[in-house]
Amino acid sequence: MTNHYVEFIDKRKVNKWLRLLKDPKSDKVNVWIATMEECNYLELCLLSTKCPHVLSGLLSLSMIRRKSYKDVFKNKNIQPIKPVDDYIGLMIYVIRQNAKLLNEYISLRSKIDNYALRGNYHEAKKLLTIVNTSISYSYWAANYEIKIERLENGLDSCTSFYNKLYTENNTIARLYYYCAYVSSSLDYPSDKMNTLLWPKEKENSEYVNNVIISHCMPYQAFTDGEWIRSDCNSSIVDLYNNLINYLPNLSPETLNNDKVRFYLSELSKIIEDPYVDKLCHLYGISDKCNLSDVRRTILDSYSRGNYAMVIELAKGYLDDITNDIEILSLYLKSYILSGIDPGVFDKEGSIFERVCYHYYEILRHSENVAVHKNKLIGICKSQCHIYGMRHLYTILSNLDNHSISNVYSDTWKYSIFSNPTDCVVFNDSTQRYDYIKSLGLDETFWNTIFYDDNHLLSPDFYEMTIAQKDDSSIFGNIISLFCKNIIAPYNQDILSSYVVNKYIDLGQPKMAIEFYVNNRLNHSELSIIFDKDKLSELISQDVSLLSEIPLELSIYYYLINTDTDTIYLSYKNCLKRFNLKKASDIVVNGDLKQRYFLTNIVVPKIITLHVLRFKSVKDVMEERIKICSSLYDFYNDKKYNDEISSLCRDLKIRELNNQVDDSKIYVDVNSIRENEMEDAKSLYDIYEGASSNVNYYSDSSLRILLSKLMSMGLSVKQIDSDSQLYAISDSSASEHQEQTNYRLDVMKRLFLNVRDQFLFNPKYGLDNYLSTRIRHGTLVNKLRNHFEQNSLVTNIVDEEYAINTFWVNSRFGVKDKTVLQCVSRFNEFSKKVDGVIANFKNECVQVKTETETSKMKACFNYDIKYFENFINELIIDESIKSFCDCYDAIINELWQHTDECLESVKDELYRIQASLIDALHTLGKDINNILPNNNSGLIQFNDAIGHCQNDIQNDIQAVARWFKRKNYEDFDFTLSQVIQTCIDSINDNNKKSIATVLNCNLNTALKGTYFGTLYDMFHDILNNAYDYDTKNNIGGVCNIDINLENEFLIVYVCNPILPEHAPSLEKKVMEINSTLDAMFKSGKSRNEGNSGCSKIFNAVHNHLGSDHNTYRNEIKDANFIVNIAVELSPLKK
Amino acid sequence: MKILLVEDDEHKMHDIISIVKEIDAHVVIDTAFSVASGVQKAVDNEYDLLLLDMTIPNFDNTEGKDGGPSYKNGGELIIRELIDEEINFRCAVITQYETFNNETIEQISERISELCRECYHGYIKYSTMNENWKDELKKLLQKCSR
Repeated sequence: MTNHYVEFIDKRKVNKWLRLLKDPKSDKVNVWIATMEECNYLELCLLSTKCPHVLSGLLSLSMIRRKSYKDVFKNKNIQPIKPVDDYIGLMIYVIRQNAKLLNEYISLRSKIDNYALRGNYHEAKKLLTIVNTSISYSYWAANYEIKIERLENGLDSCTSFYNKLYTENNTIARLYYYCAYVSSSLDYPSDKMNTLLWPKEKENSEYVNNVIISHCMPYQAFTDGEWIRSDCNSSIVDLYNNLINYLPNLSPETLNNDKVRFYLSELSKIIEDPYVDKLCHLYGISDKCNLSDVRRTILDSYSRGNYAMVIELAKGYLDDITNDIEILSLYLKSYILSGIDPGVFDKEGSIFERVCYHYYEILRHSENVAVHKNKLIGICKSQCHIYGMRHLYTILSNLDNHSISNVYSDTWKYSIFSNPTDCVVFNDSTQRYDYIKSLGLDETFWNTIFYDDNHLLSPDFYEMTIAQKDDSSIFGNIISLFCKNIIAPYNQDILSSYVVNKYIDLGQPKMAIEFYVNNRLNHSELSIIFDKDKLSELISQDVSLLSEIPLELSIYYYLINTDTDTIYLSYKNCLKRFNLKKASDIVVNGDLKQRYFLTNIVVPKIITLHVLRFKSVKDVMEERIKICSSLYDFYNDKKYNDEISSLCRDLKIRELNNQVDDSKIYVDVNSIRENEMEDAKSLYDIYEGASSNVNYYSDSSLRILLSKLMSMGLSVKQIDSDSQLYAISDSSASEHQEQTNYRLDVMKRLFLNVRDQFLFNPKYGLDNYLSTRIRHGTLVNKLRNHFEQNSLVTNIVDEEYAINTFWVNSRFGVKDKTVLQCVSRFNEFSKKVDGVIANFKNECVQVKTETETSKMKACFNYDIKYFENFINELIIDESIKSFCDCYDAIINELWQHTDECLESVKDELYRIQASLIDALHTLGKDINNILPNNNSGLIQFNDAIGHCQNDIQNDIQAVARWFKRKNYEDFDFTLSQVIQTCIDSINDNNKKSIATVLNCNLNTALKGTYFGTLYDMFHDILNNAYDYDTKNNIGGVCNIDINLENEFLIVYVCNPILPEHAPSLEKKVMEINSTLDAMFKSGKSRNEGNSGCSKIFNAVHNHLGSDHNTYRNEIKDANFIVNIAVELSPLKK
Repeated sequence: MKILLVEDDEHKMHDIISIVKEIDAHVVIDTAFSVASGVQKAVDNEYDLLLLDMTIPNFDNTEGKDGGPSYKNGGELIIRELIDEEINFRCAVITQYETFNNETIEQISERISELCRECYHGYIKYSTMNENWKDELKKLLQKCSR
């Protein structure tokens, strides 16, 4: 510790300045500032002894013993310019002149810290007041008060105090007050301060940022430099704090400067600050060791493993010196290592209690370590003005380091008292040992750590972190401890990381992977950081790993979140090695790795890729169900059962979705037979009773009447514009007198009756189901959906297509005339798409006959001319012996014809597909021609065209599947399933999903025959709700409640509406409610005005097996409510 | 020459087939619509060339069956599966998209090239807006038929 520096005293200089100071005409302050600039430490000391007493205040910078917060940083001119090392000397001179006061401050500060940590804010504030009044006001005290005010009295009081400070002081202190204020919350200290930092490229950023960090965020790293002068005119307390803050961050050059070391040795002589003593001792500047006997005993007891003693002594010690974080660490670790229960720490209590709570959870490696770490770091940042909190912050930061040799890398900087771990400041292990010896600690223990290779590893692994040992015996011992599972929880992360990296360095990938996997499986919360790239390289070089550790490799890939392909190939590799075709063939045996593999890796996402084994989504899900069943049988873990239920539910929904597609083309022929065939039966009776030989003139002689009328001067065209009648009026037609076979005629009328019921019955007929299941809401959404998803079409707003802002503004970013060209083109495209789809829906997916001709392009064309031959054959068919036979034969023929119509619908579909794709291509070409090649949105646009082309073909294919009749196969379902199927269907066919909450606990199995009707019903209800919500941009939730009351299913569907719409909707609902029944009886179901209510009515009253069902809509409390009651027993399986 | 074309976009598929037939009417073209059917056919049969779309469903979207997830790099999945099954093949990618899950076709192509080395013959950028792809396809077929 010998310092050869000798500070030279220039007596002539001293006398010169003395004369100037004594000169009554001189400006004393400026002279003194100049004196401080020119004289060194010893010269200043000499000067102060020679100056008259009247100048002692000036010479001790008494003006920075501030009388109020307002005064802090006043006297801006007190800024002597000196090099940093000399400036240190100057500061120490000032401290020397105020040593008594500062020693008082140091003593009070330690008590204030204690009180603050313990939540005794009242006492803390009392002492702060004493510091302010008897020593100096300071921004340190102001910041402290801001924080205490927040803790004690809450945000309002704190804000009020801060605002007062801010307005009263317009110096740099404002910045410090601001930072103290924004970080005053323990729960969320805010990162606003980071926004204050200057970008590195800005001039003087280093200077500025060092000032900000050292004063406001001292837990972050900062460097020494000229900026230290910024506190010269603050206050005596702040000047001292600034210097002390600076000391642990001295650069090696500054620290090795003999002059600086001389000044620091002077400081250690005059100041009674244990922290200064510790630093000077560590730097080899002084021999003063600040270890008390109690502290030494605690440290030694911990080393010897006498944790009970540590707990006993530390408890009392921490009552007096609460901010000794090192002792707190040993105290909490002792609880963990001894297994003694520390009791409950109050996580909402004082700062100290909260620190204990979170720190203990971190040390014992609880499940939510990251959460606790976050919270504790927040507390440290918020309360960094309290000595010790920065020490805790560095400890926590080093935990994330995951390098065993860096555990204590900079904790020495901020621990108040000397600790053996401070020795890491020395690179050489001999120096480290010497330092520890100088602390007077247990020499036997530390001698063993440094020099004895054959002892048990210390619980905190000092051998590695302090004695810098890392040989194979240490490594072997660590592995052995892991095998016995006796690693302290707070060391698990760091030692696991060490072991894995060590194996990697030794070129042993198998060991690394096995260790990693075994430990992660046993401790799921472990965080192991290692060189993944290096390990990947080793794995790729060692193909034997695939056969030796296939399971571990697979789990390893999963744990490190590698890509799905890699995990999949490793899964396949496992099957290969186990000689199995499928994972469900694995016999569950209780092995942890096997369980992990089956639970987490062989999941649908992976199984799906195994395309050579599993050919469909159903196969994949069934495989997963088998695996979960095996796991559940062995482990009886509820989560497997839950997964099975979820998969079964999904499978069922998929099946039901297919049912929906398969049942679009439907006619309720049974209900028609039972309810609508009175007339037809009568006709059949007539037919049966008529002789086959009866013929009659079928010409109604209308043409004779017409001729007569013409002769009377009337134009036939005026009577009937139908050209047929006009042709009849031609006189040559008088030769056409035909006779019709009576029986044939009756059969024809019977056929027409059945046909018309088949087609047009409002409850059971084909057109009703085409309307309900295809035209209403479903078809347009299905075909338009992907155009919307790719933002290629817009909707009509105020009778015009909305501008496609997505592409034109946001993606293409075009201006001027190009905007108009693009907008126009997109509008044309929207119109084209909507036109094509509307035409298909309104013209093609329609029914026509020779009398029902309103839809001329209808694909479902049942003109009588197609059935003439059939009818002729029917009357000679000897197998027709009853009305039922006749009915069945007609229905069969009608279905066959329907199949032909379905083919023409599909042909039409493929025509519109070509039309839509052509329109897409044209749009693509046109937009590419309008925009310059380098437009940044073009790539995305062209991709969107491609996606849309692909998707529309899938959509057309899906729609084409609707137009195929499928024979009914019996199945059952539950209400939840049918509702979920509706929801899925709506979500699949729309850009946005419908928000629903479903409350239905009924699991009654219902007959499959009612699936279609219930689906139609719920689909219409939900679709209406969705359309309204989307159109009015409400963003509401549709609530669906299903309950059973007196054997009736009570369905209650409620979705929010805009309050201003309530009156008009109420009126509409009343109209609908009162006219529905009448509408049906009059057969006007086709003109329901798109509300779907008539379809719901039809479903409820006519297709759910009971006459007692009810259906009502209402508006209540700005909600649209659907109330349905359906008798359960007809529906039950 | 026998080609397997894996493509779920029928329109694009017909386009490609008609060009191939124009180039060489004797070429036999098999088609598959998904990763699953593409892999199965490639395993069961021998082809001179696999022409792979990138974005394809995992399973065939046949009647009544859900095609499952659609993979942006379905073509690459096919290639990896065939390599894992130790099937010899030659392949090229024919796609109309520029990007796939934040990767460009160039990046994916580079990766496939490292996987497959000589058996990978690059990618063709299909487009409905120009005909360059036809020339590229022609060159590819000529190269593969030697």
